[in-house]
Amino acid sequence: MIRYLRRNQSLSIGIALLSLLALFVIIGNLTVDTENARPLSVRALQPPSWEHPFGTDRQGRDLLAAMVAGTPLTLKIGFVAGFLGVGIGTVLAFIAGYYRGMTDTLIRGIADIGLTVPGLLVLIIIAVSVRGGLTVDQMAIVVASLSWLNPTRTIRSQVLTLRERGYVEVARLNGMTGPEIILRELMPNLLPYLAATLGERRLRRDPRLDRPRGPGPRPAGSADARHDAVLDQLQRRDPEWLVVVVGGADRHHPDRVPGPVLPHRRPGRDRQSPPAARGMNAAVLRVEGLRVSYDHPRGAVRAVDDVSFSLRPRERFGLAGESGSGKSTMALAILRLIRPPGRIDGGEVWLDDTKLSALSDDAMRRLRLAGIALVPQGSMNALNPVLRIRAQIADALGDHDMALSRRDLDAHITSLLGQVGLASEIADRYPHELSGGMKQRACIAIAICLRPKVIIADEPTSALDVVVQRQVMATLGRVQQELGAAVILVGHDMGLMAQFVDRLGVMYAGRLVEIAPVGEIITAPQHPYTQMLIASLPSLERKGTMQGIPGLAPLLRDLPPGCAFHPRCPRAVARCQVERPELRHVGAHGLAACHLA
Amino acid sequence: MQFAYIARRFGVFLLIVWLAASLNFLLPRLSGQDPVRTKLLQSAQLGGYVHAGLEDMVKEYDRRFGLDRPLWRQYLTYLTSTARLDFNYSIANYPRTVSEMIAEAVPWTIGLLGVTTLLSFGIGTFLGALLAWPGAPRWMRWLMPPLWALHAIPFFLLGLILMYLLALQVPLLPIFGGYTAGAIPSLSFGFVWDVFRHALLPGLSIVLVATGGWALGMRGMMVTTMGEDYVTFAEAKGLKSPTIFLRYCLRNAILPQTTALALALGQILSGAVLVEVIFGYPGIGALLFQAIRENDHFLIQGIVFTVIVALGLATLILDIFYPWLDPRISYRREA
Repeated sequence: MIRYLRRNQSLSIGIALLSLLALFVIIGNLTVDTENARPLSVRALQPPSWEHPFGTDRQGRDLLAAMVAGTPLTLKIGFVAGFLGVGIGTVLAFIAGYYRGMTDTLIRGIADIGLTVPGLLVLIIIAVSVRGGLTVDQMAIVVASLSWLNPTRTIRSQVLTLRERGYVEVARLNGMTGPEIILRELMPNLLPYLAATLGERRLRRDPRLDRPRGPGPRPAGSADARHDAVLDQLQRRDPEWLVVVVGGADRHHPDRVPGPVLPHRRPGRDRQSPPAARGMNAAVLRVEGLRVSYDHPRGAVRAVDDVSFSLRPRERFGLAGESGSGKSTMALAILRLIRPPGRIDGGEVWLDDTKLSALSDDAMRRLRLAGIALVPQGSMNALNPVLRIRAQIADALGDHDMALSRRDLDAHITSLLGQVGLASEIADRYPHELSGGMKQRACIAIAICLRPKVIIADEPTSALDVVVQRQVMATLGRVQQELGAAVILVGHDMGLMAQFVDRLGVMYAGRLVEIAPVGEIITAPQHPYTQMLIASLPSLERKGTMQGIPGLAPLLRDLPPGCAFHPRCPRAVARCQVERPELRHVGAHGLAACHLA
Repeated sequence: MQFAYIARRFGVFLLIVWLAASLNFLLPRLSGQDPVRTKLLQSAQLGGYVHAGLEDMVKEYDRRFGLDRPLWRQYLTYLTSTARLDFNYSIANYPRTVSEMIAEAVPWTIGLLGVTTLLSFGIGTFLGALLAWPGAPRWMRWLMPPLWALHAIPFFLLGLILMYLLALQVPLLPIFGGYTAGAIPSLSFGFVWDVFRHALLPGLSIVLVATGGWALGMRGMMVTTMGEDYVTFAEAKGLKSPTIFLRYCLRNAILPQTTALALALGQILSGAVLVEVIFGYPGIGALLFQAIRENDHFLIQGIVFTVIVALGLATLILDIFYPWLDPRISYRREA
């Protein structure tokens, strides 16, 4: 309860103010003679004195006594109006939100129109019209009848989001009736919200303050909330892997089988030295010992730990791993886009001969998109909803000093859209007018508008259906070849990876556990984790035997000692529990971080 | 699409106006008062004797005012005169008409509250956006606590404090009225300056209080918006900081603020009562206060009707401009 109050400031402030008022009334009634609140002409308009601390008004009423006598009435009106208002509002909101349809339209319509009518004025009109004025009780009821409007609107939108939850669906399937679901499933879950609404109404009866702020919970502004959200995202326990049926050797570009990435093998090396660090002038992008951590009240969390790899020109490199394995954080870290509470606390990224950490903020900004471009995740919400596609491309060009004439700009945008298979009219559309696949293509068009050397595609197909996925990946592949850029494909879809990339890195709990040419990794994975990933892919030969990886991804905050994978590893030995394995050469061209490989 | 949308919104506006008018018509009749009889009885008592033909007089007046006709006929008559903005004579200020008095007061209120509301919206929204922006200057963080504190003070209280400080202790500004008593309203520089000086105190008290509220709302919206995917992508696009701030964050975060602005603009006519009464400002709020004190039914009804229409008008204008601000809206099903 105390903790809840601490988190919910408006409620605790409300309670504190109410207690103060109650205290004022109690002490006031004990110490002040309320008889003085009656008019008495001989003491009219007196200044504050010991006898009348607040002075007296024109009719000779002692102002302090009047306040003591009047406060209970105000409180009564507030209470009755608040409880009645929120009560009526809650019931109507649940009915409207749960049953939807005509009922919803009707209730919401009344509330919407009612909200535009100023409450104070209606109160005045009613008070003027009723013979002899209003009693306190009548006044309370009138105020209540005006104050259900706002709670109805806000609670309804909460109910709307709740009713789609799994447990409500289950209750419905189990044959619970509507009222039962409302009382036993929805109400308990909304109680804290209702309490807060009530607390707020107590404080803010000025209707100008009650303006709707849009549906949904209030923005989580506190640092703690943000920490939690980040951690939540990092460690969402989501062991399921999206998989697509693939044959291991069914490669998209069989003619471009990659050679070994290391210039010379150094057998037996298991030192910390990053595998692709030295002597790799051919590499277009080098990542060396990159570390990213997120600050958290309970200690920093390392999301990316000592990751190194390099990218040759035109190479397609895959970064695979479960949710929370650090692969998306990697993508942002390469672009130096980690935001607080996250920070890059070690390692280096080189683009050709440019050391990215040495660049000024402005130089780094110019390098984004021009040198390294991001194709964002999902693309559902990656485009600004209020700008046309044309403007979003033009913004990117303009801020990279590409001030083109109107004609050149149009021509450039048309050719960009053409490259990703979109018609030129798309430039004048808003994002919400495009399908998921079209939005993803538009994102690719933006990403290639300055002909970058490296494209980082962060789960570019995660929200698309399988057919569109293939089309988008084909587009990405074609564009990459035209540009001669290298691609890092971040994702968890091993099937897609097997088809698209030349070389694959597998991440687990923030570390790279295996890197190898994709043909090798599919046919002869070295790390037990990779082996289990490959084994979990459905295949045409072994129909119907889907195999998952037992256990859950570890919490980054609380990693097991030694090899982070050992609790889930079927082959773990004693050494795995104490000594952390480093990446070393195993197999023909690969690297793996496992004592047993 | 465009036309149907505007037509639908206009329909809602007409509905609100009609509801307001009907409310005005019905409430006094539901209350069971008989204004003519009450008034006549009052006059009779004032005259010192009860007139023998009182009942006949009541009947005659009822006939003259059309009160003896069936309710639906009265209603139709009422609606047509309302449509012509004819709200009858003021009872307390006969023979002045209600529409005349309202027309006189409205410019003052719109001038004072319209300007202050827009000003505090502009300042508050921009401040709020900057307060959420990591690239904003450091000294800005010191701005928020005083703004919050000011926002928590009711503006009439702040008005009284300012009045005490700036008009009584240090007599810099006039304390009362819309212009110096006796000045002849004209478009001369002297008069405009006089009006401006009179508007400063009430205006200041409103702006100081309201700015914090706008800033608070905007700051919250900005925090949410900055977490959106399109802002991350905008950064990855290598856009300049001002571009991201203005075109990607502020432009999206301002949408809910605009709704609130329309409501606030609609409510300035009713929200003005306290400020106008305290500062003796000749606007619609002060007029309403006076009408209530003098029990001037027709004037009260006229003002209430005007206020509701103003609100409806503000929402209508917002609805028409909103699709231009947020292109998603016109295609959404009736929001």
